[in-house]
Amino acid sequence: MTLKKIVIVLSLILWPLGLFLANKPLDFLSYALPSSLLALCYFLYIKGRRNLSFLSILAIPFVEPKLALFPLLFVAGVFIWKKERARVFVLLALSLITLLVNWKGFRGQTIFTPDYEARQEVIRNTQLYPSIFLARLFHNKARIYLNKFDDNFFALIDPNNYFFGFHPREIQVANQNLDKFPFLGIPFFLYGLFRLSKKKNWELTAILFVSGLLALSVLSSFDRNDFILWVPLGLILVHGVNEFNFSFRKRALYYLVFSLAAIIQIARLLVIKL
Amino acid sequence: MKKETKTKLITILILFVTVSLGILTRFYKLGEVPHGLYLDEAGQGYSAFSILKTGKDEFGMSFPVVFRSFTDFKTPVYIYLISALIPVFGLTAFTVRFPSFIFSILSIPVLYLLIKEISPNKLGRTLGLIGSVLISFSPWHVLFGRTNFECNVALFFFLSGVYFFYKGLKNPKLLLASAAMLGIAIPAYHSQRLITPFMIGLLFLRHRKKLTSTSHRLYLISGAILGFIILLPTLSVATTPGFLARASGLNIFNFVKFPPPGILPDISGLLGLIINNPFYLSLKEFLALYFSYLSPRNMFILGDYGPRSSFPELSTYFVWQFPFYIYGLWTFFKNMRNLGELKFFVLSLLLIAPIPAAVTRDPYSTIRALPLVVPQTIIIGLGLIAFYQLLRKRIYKVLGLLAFVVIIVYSLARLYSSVIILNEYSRASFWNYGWKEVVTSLNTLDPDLPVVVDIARSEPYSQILFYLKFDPETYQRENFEVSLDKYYTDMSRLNVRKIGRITTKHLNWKEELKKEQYLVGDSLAISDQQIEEHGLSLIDEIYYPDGSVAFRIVKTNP
Repeated sequence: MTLKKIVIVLSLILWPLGLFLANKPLDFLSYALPSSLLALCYFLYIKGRRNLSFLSILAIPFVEPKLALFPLLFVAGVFIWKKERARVFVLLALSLITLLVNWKGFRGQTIFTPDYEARQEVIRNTQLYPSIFLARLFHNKARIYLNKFDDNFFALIDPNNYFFGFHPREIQVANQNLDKFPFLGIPFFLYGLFRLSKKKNWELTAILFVSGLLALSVLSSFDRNDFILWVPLGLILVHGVNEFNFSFRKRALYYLVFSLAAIIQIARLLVIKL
Repeated sequence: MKKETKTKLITILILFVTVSLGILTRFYKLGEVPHGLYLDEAGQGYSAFSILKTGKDEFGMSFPVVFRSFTDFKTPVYIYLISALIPVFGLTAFTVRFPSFIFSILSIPVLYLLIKEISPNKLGRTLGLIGSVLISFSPWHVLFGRTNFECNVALFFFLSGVYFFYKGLKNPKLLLASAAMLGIAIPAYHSQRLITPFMIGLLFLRHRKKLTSTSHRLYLISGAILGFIILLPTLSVATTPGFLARASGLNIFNFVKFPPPGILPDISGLLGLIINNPFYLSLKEFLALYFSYLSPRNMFILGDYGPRSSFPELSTYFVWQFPFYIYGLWTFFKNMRNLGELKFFVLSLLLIAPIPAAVTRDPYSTIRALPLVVPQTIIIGLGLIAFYQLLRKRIYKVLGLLAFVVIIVYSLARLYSSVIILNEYSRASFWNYGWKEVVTSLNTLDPDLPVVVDIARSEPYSQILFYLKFDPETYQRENFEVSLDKYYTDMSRLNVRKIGRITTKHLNWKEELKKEQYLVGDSLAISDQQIEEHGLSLIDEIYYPDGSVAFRIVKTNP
């Protein structure tokens, strides 16, 4: 096994291993299955089996109803990007049906569930303003949902979320604060992102990430379900390692340092959880 | 009218509007909002007052290089600036916040000039104007332009120094001005002790050929000597514990004081040596902190966690700026080769500015990383320009400009909502609201009775000195903390302070109840139960804007 392959394996193993150790096996399975379907979709797509690849995406809500919005967003993404209109209309209808079938399980898990405390805060804050217009401009029901969406969205695009489990001293509440990728993998990830357009099927990677990002942002708690992003983010990271390999001659030293730090990170995980 | 003259006139007009916008966002209720005066602000104000009246600070030290204050050794530039203002405005909250305001405003045109100087010709003027417009209502920059924080003053000197450096490449005499500005920036704020030398090093390396050419050599050496002379007082105390107090107190690499996060105490031996390796853990923490300054989550949503270094419901940037930031980053990296000196400056500052903040424990400390506002604002500006260029038809361009104006108005309303309304209501206690009212109330009470002020949760002596405008000479005489030869080295603190008839100390009920006197404390120090239990007479209560009790003044009945 070359050093590059070791780097790739170490980069990808941390998130599933951490998630497995932090949860009961059956729960882990419910988080891992959507991700596996996503990986299957990517695999089938690059093999040219597009219909089958889209079908694997449509299966996700049946495994995890919280992700019922994902297929719809994914198909919309393909529609915008690829303009495969005929196929996409059928898929759009199917993903809508999927959403409706899973509506009950989905709705209660979203940011749109009534929040009594937030509403009370809106009422309290509106009393402070000299003008009703100004009060309503900044404190209203829509803003409650918008703020929750923003909180999720920005947490999901935060590099600290993926490489450091947010901040080392950030208090663990509803979030397991898992280290998802080795922290010295940041250069690979950024380089992969920077050169994403050079990746084969990069559009699919981007659509998978963006639809996952939006589908998770509407959830009241995205923790653990965010494992579906392991596939697109992992693909970008691996692409970064590959590009790194082409672009930098003196890469071996960094690979070694990275591997050493990643092994310590994995060892710490095993020691803590076992 | 020539086209060039017309462009110049439009530029001056936009710059005038921009500076006016900056003044509006910073000067409105300056000194009144935030209501209250934090102990550091009052401490700096009284140190300046003491220097003005006696030539010594409150500890009796003549013209200190760093001010002992709460043994956190405050940087000197800001305090000497306040000293100069007290004869004009008096010792008020307005005065102690005025230097922040004025240098924050001056930074706006300096930023324009700097961006124009270092950008490619076509981009310079537009990007300079957009950058200065964005900074004029930037929540990050506005906050430190309304309150007493040294970082804004330091940023002005830093930006001016870099601007004169670039000017100095063409006109070498200006290297002297650059050296003077950068020389002042270093002692002006703690984080500039790292950022400025780093930037000087990088600028020198990049332009070494020009700087060491015969035309520039003499001015380079003269500038270095001038900078050295300005820094001489700072260098003379640079190794003292006082000077290093902030760095050693907050440094994440200080393993003795703060073990790195993630230590597993049950693991020892060889395994412990590997997985509890302090270098590994600290490197991880440093990188986590470093990247937190580049994280959109912190920039656009969370902001600074500190209640005095942020406004409620407002981050360091407005959320609407996020897409332009991303597009700006894309544009920047895509066109990096054509951006010349702008590329160098933005990248250098983007990478250097988080370092001093990232070596301290606090996540996303916007005070320490303030220079980061410059490259990030430039990137947002690039995004806005690139977006505008996407609009092909004239009507779209007009609509785009109109939308930008609407967004500015909305952002101003949001600033008003956060700074003037929500901050006042919910964060008055963090700004130590109430001491002015306490002092006013004490002045109306029986002057023959002594007063004891509790210090369990705060050290209000600086605020009492400030609002009483207490004679510095008397205070110096009656309160001895350390001898002057140990001013920068001895970290011991005085627990009991005498301010005329007022004593600040920890309340000792057994002692305090023996004689007739006034007691001052918060609602925990003097609770309803204690008033009843000790038979105290409630003289006055000071309330926070949210209606809760801030302080109580009671009289003992022995």
